[in-house]
Amino acid sequence: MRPARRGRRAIRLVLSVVLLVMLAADPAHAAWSAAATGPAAARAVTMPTGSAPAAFVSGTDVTVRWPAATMSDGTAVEGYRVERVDANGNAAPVAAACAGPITGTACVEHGVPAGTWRYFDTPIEGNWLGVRSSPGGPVTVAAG
Amino acid sequence: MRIKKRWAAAGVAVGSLVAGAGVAYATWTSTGSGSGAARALTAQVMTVNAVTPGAGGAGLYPGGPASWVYFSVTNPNPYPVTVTHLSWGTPVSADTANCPSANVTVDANAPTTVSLPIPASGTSGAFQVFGVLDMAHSAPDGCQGVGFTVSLSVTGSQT
Amino acid sequence: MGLRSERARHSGVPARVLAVAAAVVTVAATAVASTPVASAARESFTISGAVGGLYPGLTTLLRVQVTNREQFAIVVTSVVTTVEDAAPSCPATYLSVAPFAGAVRVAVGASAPVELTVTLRRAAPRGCEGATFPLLYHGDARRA
Repeated sequence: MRPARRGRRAIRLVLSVVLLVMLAADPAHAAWSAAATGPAAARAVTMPTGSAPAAFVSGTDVTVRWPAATMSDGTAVEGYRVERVDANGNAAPVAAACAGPITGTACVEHGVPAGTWRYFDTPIEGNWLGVRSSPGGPVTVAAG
Repeated sequence: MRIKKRWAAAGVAVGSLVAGAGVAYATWTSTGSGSGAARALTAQVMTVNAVTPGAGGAGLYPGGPASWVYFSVTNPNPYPVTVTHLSWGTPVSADTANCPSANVTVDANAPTTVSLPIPASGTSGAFQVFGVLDMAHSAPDGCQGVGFTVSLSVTGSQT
Repeated sequence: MGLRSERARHSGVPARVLAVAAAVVTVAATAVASTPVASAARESFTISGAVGGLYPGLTTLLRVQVTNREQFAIVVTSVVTTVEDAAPSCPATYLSVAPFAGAVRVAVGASAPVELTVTLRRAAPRGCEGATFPLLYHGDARRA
């Protein structure tokens, strides 16, 4: 074969290889297309129910303790609201340090008036309020 | 002698005619032609379907970790498809009065690269993609249990 | 005795002339009868047919109709298909149509189906989506 012919043949060979590589490369792009649009769905959880607290009196201090509540994914809730009611079920304002959202699972209310009281706890997450617990057992603060 | 030759000549002539006709019969061939077409189908658009979770499938709460979404894909094409890319739109609340849509956003790290098999001429099972939606910590109490949808565009190719 | 009277009757035409005439007729008849009819301008049969719904990797049957144009029954022995490019981005190499070889009898003035196996290759690129490959059919037949 003459040199010029050999050269042309070589070029053709290289071009074919390049073309083959281009065709073979990225078969994913060569495969037929498929596309779709539509909604995916999600849902917000609902808050858990608090567990009934236990209360311990020491003078006019009442220590209130309750089991932790968890969100549906198992993480502990951010906080709790503690409530106190009298024997007739009337709510009484809760004093420090059980007032306001309580982080943790216990608090001590100071200066609790004499009487028989029951406590509740309600899980909190941000602005979300859970379901109030059942009342804890009654405790009595002695007069005087 | 002459009579035999005559009959012989006639016999040869008739025999040749018969033989000639027989040869012609065996070699008759002909051709035919025409035109037609082979059409490839056009890939049909698929659809993404929301799969609404029950209470057991809920995951969004204020300030919680990025939650999951559910969907299925319907593929009308006669070949299976693999979905490889997800593109998320804007979440919409199912109860905008008590829980405005703006309380839920698409997480910055929501997955976009996936490999989801879609059957030919049918609908896939439900897919659960994690880490997609965030609920603002300030979301009001009215958001408890509320459903959300988020527009999803998927692309892929024949498996 | 019979022979002698025959000889007297045909004595007007010499035997040599008879033989030469017979030979000429034979050659002429053979020459005319064995000339292939294919060299005639008109075709003996037409072929038509189309197939759709192709996608990469699909092998399916393309049913063509062979219509007999002759005044006698024929037997179609082969059908060969030439595929043309569907589009610049979808060359003919991606479609294969198997040749038919066999014997399909087609009565006078009738049509008969011939089934060809057609495959759109798995590597067919996106340029082939919705594309149409023109097909050219050519077949051979013999007399039934």
